[in-house]
Amino acid sequence: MTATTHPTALSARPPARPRHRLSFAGAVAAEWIKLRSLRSTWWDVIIMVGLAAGIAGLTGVTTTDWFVEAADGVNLAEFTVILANQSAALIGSVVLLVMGALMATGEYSSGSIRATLAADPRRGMVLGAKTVVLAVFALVLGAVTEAIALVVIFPILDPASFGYSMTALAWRLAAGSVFYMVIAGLIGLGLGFILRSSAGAIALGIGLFFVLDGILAMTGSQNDVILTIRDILPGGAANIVLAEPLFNPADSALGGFGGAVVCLALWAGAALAGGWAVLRARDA
Amino acid sequence: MIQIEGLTKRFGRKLAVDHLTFTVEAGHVTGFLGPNGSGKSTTMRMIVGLTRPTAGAARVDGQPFARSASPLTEVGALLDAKAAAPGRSGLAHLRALAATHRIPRRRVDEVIGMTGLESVIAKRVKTYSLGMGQRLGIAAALLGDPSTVILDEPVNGLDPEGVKWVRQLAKGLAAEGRTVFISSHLMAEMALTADRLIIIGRGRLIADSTVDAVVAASSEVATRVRSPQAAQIAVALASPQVTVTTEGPDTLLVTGLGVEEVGQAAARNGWVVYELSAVTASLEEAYMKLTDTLVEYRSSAQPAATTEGAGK
Repeated sequence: MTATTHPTALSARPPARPRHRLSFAGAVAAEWIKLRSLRSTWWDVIIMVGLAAGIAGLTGVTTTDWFVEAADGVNLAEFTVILANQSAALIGSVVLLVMGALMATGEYSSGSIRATLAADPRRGMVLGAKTVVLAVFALVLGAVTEAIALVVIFPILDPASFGYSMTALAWRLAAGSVFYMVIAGLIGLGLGFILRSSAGAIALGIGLFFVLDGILAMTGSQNDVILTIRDILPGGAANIVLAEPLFNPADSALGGFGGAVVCLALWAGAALAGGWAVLRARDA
Repeated sequence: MIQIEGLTKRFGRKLAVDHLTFTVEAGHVTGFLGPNGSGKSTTMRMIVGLTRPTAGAARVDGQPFARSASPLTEVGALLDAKAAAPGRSGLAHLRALAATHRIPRRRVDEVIGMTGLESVIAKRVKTYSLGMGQRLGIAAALLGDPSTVILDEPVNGLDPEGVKWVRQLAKGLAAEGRTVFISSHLMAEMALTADRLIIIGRGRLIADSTVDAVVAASSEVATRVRSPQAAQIAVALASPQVTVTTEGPDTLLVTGLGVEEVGQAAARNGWVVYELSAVTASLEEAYMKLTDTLVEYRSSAQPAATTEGAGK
């Protein structure tokens, strides 16, 4: 309405108030408030950083004596990062998987999804905002966790050259660890929206990441299809992203680091696409 | 204004809402009445797009709510007493909702004041009583200063003072020209709060009218007569148009004759009459009568408290 509107044009109804509009930036701000206002978020942070530091320290101390031997020809800085990844990425992926799942399922168990969707009926926007907030949070938290694991483990294993010996591949392995943690969170979020049940989403996520590969490995099968499935499961792709020098990437169906990154991104994309389809189609 | 046209929702084999058509006008409090499980909540959820209709449409101010550029200023809805995460404070819940529309903190503080939640707002929602949860839900509904307010069973769990507060709030919002749509299964409460009534049973429209008209339409006026000569009077008054039933040893209930006619008959016949009074059907009775054949879960059947059907 413009200032020249005649008073006679005014109806008895309260005027439309376009002052406050729904926006994606607003939806992101809302999701960030929701994430940081839960105590469990900060417990998760403490657990993740604390456990990663603790396990990295333990790994370092127990490996000191046979460190060079265990590395078996792998560059020592790269091998140190791989050991750090074993603590940071493994703990971090589980914590972020759970956190991502709860960002979705917590809304359903508490009923707050109704308030959320009544304020923002564009469901794709809700999922998008949660994805952005979780991805950024996981990126920062993952980087902090990885850095702490490295800071703990390097002085124990390689005190002389810490900070100078990191090769390009060593840096890439550290970055891969952070990337893997972000992916785990996003897969958790997608599964949470698909299943709407904390227990179900977490169980399926853990199964997908850790259990399925173990079961297939136990069969000892060298069948090509089974081996390919093991390569493209999140755990298989993670082997290359987190510890490439220990594997021969050429043997993997994924071909190498690039293929593994794409594979993990596709897993997250598929989980989120599934979550979006369910969120869009089902009644809240 | 809320326009409902042929709105239908089927859950599996159960038809929860069955071709509802009605309009909720701005400037009035419209009560939405029906027994538990009659489809009130489902209808309200379809208005705000939480539930997708099987057929038909709901429009708010002429457009589907989901298309609104500014949902919170269009519709404020209380759909569930505890639609907030238990581990979060009420304040964080309201601030997050406000953030979606860049509603300033000043407005958040305003609605906290309006709903009297100042003392508990920083505490986690899990510590709230049902009444505080309702107030938090109402605060959330008012955040965007919306032109339409939808409240599903807002007085559940409120103390008498709270009930009175909701009543005044609803009337005040309507007086400002807003559309106010409130559901309840309590006729008496709606009679005090609402100007208009939409009554449904088993998902179907039973009445769409004013409170007064609903009562008038289903009132069955009778005349109560208390007299030591009750038996004699019963015989004398009986006719094809008049039904006389015995209420007590000396009390009769006469339908088909007003107090004037019974009084004149008493004078003519010299009957001793202790009491002569008009019996009007109460609102509650009118409502029971309207929904009688449509009550979904009868208390005499199973212990049905757990089956809320499409309800909560």
